[in-house]
Parts: sequence; C-alpha cells; structure tokens
Amino acid sequence: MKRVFLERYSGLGHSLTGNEKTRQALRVNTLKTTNEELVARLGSRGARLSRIGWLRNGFHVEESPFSLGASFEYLLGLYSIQEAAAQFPVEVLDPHPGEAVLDMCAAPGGKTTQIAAAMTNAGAVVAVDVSRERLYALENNLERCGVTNCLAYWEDANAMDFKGKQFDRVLLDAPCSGNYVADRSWFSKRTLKDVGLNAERQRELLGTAVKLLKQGGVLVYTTCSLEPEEDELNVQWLLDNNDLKLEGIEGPGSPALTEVFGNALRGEIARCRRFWPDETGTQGFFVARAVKR
Amino acid sequence: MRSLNEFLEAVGDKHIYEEELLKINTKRFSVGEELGNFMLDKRQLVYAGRYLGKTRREFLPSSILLEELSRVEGLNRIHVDAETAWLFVCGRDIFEENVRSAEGEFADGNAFLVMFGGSCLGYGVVEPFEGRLILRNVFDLGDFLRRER
Repeated sequence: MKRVFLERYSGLGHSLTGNEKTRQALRVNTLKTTNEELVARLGSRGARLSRIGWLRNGFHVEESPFSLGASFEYLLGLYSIQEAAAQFPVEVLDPHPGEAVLDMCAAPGGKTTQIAAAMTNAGAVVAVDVSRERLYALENNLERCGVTNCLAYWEDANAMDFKGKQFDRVLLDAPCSGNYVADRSWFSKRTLKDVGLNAERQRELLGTAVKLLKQGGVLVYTTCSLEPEEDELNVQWLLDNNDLKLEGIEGPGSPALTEVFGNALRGEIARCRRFWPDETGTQGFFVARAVKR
Repeated sequence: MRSLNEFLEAVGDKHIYEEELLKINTKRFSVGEELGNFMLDKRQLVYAGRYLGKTRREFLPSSILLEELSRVEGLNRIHVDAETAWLFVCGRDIFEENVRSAEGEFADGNAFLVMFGGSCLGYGVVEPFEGRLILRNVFDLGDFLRRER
C-alpha cells in the first residue's frame, strides 16, 4: 500500500518518500513548573532541550543521558512526552480559566492535560472516551500532571447523554487512520477502505460536537491523518451542514487543500493547517478551527 | 492503614470529612461545585476532580495528595539523597542509615512521607528488619511506570 498512498499524496501536489521522521519532543506542565525551571533542572542533569518556536511550552529533545520517560521530573509530572504537532491543536483551541471545555475523544489524555494546564485547573474539562483501556492511561496522566478540574467518562461521545450541557470550546481529536511517521508499520496496516470508514465516523462526531457547542463557542477539529477524506472533505461537509465560521490559524504547516483529486472545495478551507511531514519535521497533522454562529 | 483518614493521621495530618468525597470503586475524589455542574451519568464516570487515592490492601495516596501534603507544616517526613530516592521510586525500602534527616520520630509503626529536593516521592511505614529499622515502601511515584506495563 505504500506506493498507493504515496501516489495519492503526489496527486495532492506533495511528494513524500514515506521515510520522513519526527523528533522527540516534550511539553512543560505549567501547572507544576515553568519552561525556564524545567530546562534548567533537566539541563543540570545533562539533558539539552531546544524551544519549538511555534509552541508555548514545547521543546525538542536534543540529547539526554537518561530516559525522559522515566525520570524523577517525569514522575513528578513536570512535563509530558508529546510530539510537537500533537501539541498544536490545544494551542489553536486556546482554552481559558473558568470555561467549560469538552474533549470528545480524550484518551490517553495528552491534550486533556494540556487543556487543564492552559485553564490553570480553573473551570471544567469534560473528557470522554469509548475505550476503557485507553482511559486508564488518561487517569494516570491526569493524576501525574496534577489535574483537578476534569471529569472523565467512559462512553462513546456520540451516544452519551450530556443532559443539555453545552460547552465554550470543544476539541474533537478524532479517531483517524493515523500516518506513517508515527507508526513504522502503517503502510502495511492501512487501506483506503479504512479511510472511508473513519471519515464516516468522524462526520458523526463532528455533528455531535456542533450540537454540544454554545453559540459563539469554538470547535477545533484535528486528526493525525494525511488523507483528505478525513481532513478537508470533512471540513467541507461540516460547513455545508452547519452554521459555522471557519477561522484562520497562525502557525506552521501549509494552508489546507482547496482542490482534492480534481474537485474544488470552499476557498475558506485554506484557513485550516495541514502538516506535511517533510515541511514541518513532525508527523502528519490537520487542524481546523470554527466558531458556531 | 486502610482508609484515607488513617493515612492522614499516620503522617500527622488532620482528618477530612470522607462522607463528602466521591467514591468511584476504590478511589476517592473531591469535586468542587463548578465541576459538579458537569456531573452526568455517574456510572460512566472514571475520574473526577481532585483525586485523593485508593484503597487496596493499604491506602495508596494519589500523587496530587502527596504534593499537597509536602507543603503542610509539621508532618512526618524523611529526606533522602538522589541515590536512595531513585531506589525508593523503583519500589525499594529505605534503611535507617540512608535517611539524611527526619521530621518526626523514626520509630517502629510510624509513617513518613519520603522527600527528595522538596518533592514528595511517596510514603512508607517504619518496621524492624534484621535488627535495624527500615521504612517499608507502601507507595512511590514509580507506580506510574509500573501500572502502565
């Protein structure tokens, strides 16, 4: 399938080798420390970090003489290991203290803890996930990072009874086909049929997300898929079926596609960001931000 | 120490009103009013607000509670060096001779928070072992790594 997918990317105007890599990155947990304190503390033990300019609290790991996934600082929750592109959607969501925020497909909780940190543990984060196994990891992350403003539920967000509650911001980090940068065996596991099935499921979740959003509320839709069916075509569907305004996103990556396999899409979709691995040095990613009118 | 309050008493802190806590299986949480407004179906709830700990054979405090306790004056604490601290988070007990300083009497049956560089790494109970005293490891932060295996 490698050839099939690479030809698709080429058809979208982007030549990839299929061997692009990302770099280890971490996010400073501002509930417990500051960027400066963590850099100094890890630096005193020989770990060298470099700031990722387009993230508030993101750093690349240049070198470390010890495992950053098993250090005192990690156990104390001073940081999380989180790939650079995966840190971007919550920055785009831009949650504030005192708000009500819904994280629809939350486990294993990297973005949930990032939301709580941006809110300084004030307000409410409702985290939902359908997988009990992955929720164990979310619970551990919430505890380790010192999150105290989160309610986590084991349920399919599409089936859940929210009892009329609506949210200031909704993050839909949708289950997706993923990408080859984050998973070396990706090409041997994925088919175009998977892409279609995921896109269908994502549209159901998008419909639910809009219903749960207050008027004027912000929806961030994100995937780590490079497939336009799960990205731009879903945003086109979202705009065609809901009264939303797509907002521009500052940051890395490219404007999203407005022509997919010969079909023209709404021009405003270019306001979304697409992370091509060879351009950003990250895994593939897609981020859209919309406001409910 | 089977309960939260037995644990708090053992390290020298005041009891809290357990009836006001939310129970999810063996876990105990404290949920403020603002967050409580988003309480939906409790049967689907797996985590809520400020996590305090869980009861197994003994009460296992959360790292959130440990961090809070590390800032409370007058509790039982021992301070250790980096090597002992690392062995402790790997699940090992602490021999008395490896305790650099103790706040509280390091005597059989007493419970102590284990401190390294201003951070609380867990807690243990003093017990006799082969003619000397050890702090038996009851809970340490290395549990985060062990539970993810």
